[in-house]
Amino acid sequence: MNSSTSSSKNAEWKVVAIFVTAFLLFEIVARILAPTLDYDRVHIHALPGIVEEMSNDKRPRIVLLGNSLLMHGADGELLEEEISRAISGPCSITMITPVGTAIRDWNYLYDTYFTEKNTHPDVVVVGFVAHHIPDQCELKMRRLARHFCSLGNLWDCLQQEGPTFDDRAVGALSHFSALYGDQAEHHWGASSFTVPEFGRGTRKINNILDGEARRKARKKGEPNSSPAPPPRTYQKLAHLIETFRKHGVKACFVPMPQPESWEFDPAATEVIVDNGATLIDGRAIAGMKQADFLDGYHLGETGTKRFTHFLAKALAKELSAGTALSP
Amino acid sequence: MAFNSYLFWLFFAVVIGLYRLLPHRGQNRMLLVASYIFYGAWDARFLLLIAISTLVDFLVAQRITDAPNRTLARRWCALSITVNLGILGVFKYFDFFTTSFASFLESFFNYQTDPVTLNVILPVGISFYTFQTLSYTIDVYRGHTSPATNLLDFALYVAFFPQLVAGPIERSHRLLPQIVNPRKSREGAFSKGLYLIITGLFAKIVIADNMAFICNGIFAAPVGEAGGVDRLVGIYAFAFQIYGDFYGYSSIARGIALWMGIDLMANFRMPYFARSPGDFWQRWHISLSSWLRDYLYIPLGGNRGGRWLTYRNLMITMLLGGLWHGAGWTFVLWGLYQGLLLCIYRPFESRIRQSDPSLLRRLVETFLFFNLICLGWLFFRAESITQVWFFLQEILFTDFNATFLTTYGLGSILLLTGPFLLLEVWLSRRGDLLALTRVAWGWRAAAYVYALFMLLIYQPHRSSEFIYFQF
Repeated sequence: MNSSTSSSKNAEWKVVAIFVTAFLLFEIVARILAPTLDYDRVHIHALPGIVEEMSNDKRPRIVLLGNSLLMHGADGELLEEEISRAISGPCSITMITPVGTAIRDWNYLYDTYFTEKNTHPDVVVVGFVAHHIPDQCELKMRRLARHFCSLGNLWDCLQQEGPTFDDRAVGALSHFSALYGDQAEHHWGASSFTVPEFGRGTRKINNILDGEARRKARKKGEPNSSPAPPPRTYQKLAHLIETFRKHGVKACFVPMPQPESWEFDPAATEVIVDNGATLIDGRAIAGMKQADFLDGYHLGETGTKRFTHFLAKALAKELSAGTALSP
Repeated sequence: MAFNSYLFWLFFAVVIGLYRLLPHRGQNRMLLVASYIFYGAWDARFLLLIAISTLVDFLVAQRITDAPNRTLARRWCALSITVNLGILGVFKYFDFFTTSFASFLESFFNYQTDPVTLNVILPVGISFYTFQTLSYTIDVYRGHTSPATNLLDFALYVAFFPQLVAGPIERSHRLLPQIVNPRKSREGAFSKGLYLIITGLFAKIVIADNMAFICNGIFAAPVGEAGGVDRLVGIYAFAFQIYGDFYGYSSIARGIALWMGIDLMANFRMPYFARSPGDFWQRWHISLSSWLRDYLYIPLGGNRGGRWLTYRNLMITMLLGGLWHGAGWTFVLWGLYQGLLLCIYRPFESRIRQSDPSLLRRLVETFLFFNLICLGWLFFRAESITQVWFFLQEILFTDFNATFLTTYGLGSILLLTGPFLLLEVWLSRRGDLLALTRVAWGWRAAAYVYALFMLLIYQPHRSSEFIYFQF
């Protein structure tokens, strides 16, 4: 090997070293930014603290588990007040509602954050609509692996939720790297800053492409074009109920109100009831109107009050009937 | 197992690890097995086609050399052409021609038929390796190359995984000796390979995938959802999508091949800086355009038969070049359009290319020709001729109102492709495609850190498959 080859190799190793160092620096910056990327990340990063605070609470503990539907739909303070009044005793309400999550996330989230014996609440109330509870619900692999999995359940998660090698690789990288795990948020943030009309443009094109995919599916006669919904299974729902049962947690499942009435799959009802959980049907609450919704999906101020009142009443009835609350 | 998948990079890590440990013969055997695994990962049944093509051409080439006279040699060569084009015809064009013929009968003679269709899946990269093996037997027949004596070496020439599914379409006189002879360590191979891989990934993930999102959205937008200016932006987005996509693939292929001691040809040379069609085809998909020149245009007579025969030959070559890209009328139209451009520019071609105009004139000529190329991309990208017509109407009769989609599309093009084009301007001025590998390491490191940042942050959530796999 002559000296020029050797010096060229050395120079290239310097380039590689800078490359790797830059990656590590980006990772550090990503970790610093992670807890403040958006309000959802603020909530997710606060979860260990929320759970710890709840576990130190001596009052009977109720956890509301769900997503933005429950976050907008239930007023924690009002709920606590109304339940305490109804059962003539204190209770604490803890809201765990990361945006856009569903049954596949909730299984791992509960397994990850509720690890110690004293962290299990007395009651968990899960709020959802139809597409949140089947095994086929939408999944964001990066966020699931990064935020809702622990090292202990990561392998299970990759095996069960990653259909391809690449999904699993993305999941594994996301678990260990904030750059990967929060990539979508970084992309959105950086692009919104550098590309004019990025948000509107992206939303518009996503809508067009989704519409196109539906049109093509209809043309081909694929399942989502036919009137019958695609086959749905509920093994993950059963698994979540089993986890609650194993830890002595009373589980209540609440189909949430929507502006239009929606059909609840009888197979899901069967899974909930057969596994010993309680179904509190919140789809049709007396007096709930279109105007009670903020944006055609989430509840607004008036809707939140109505739903909270309904939930407090239903939970109080359940709690008075059973022995769930044991301080 | 595409180059932008994690599975591929795991596969490549294993391959390069084994490659370093093995002697030359072992390397070739291992690379052949790896190439078959790579190809079989799409569909193991496709391996049979590659095996047939390999075996036929290996045996035919030997028969051509052993043939006692040219007539017999020509027959053997014709057999190879028939088998290779037969495979291509059955898998790629049969359904297209039968359905088109049935439509023709119905439209012109009101005669309804139920066309026979095979409905077979198009094997990935069939057009690439078919052309590569065809060039081998033709070159052996012409005496430009000696026939391979070892079947495994020849099989590796046909199936070498970095360039198997989307080129570059290598010639036997370039690639075969590199396979047959023990590989020498090349100076700067690691540096050049790294450069090619990083720029390739950048072009694919940062440019092509982001442009694909915009282009797919605008091409799918129903009437009223996008204006004429938006449609134009959609075509520009496609121009950079297809460039990023195909340049990216070729660049990564060259990079990883270089790390295994094999130097593949450059397939692109700043194509959007071309000022004329002749210039463009010496910069775009160079391995295909030179293939068409050597095995189609020149045998047809090239420019030796006078002006009109030259025009005819250009039109035939580009028409078949269009059809090579896909079995569809939009590709035929694209090929005809490219042929027409070559014919129209022909009287001025040499003047344009030999002149050394002012910067302004150069910019004007480049911009004008870029837009003509973009018009061609409309034919290439459209799903039907009806869509071509619809887009042309929308663009020509637009009210020239820029919507937020226009701003978003142009902003993205500028942000994501701008720095890459600036690099190309610099490379062009240096007259060296690999100039970045020859500057001080600090500059290179800075460029790679920028690429890394963009790769990590600007990766779109919807990634797209390499376009040229379908050809």
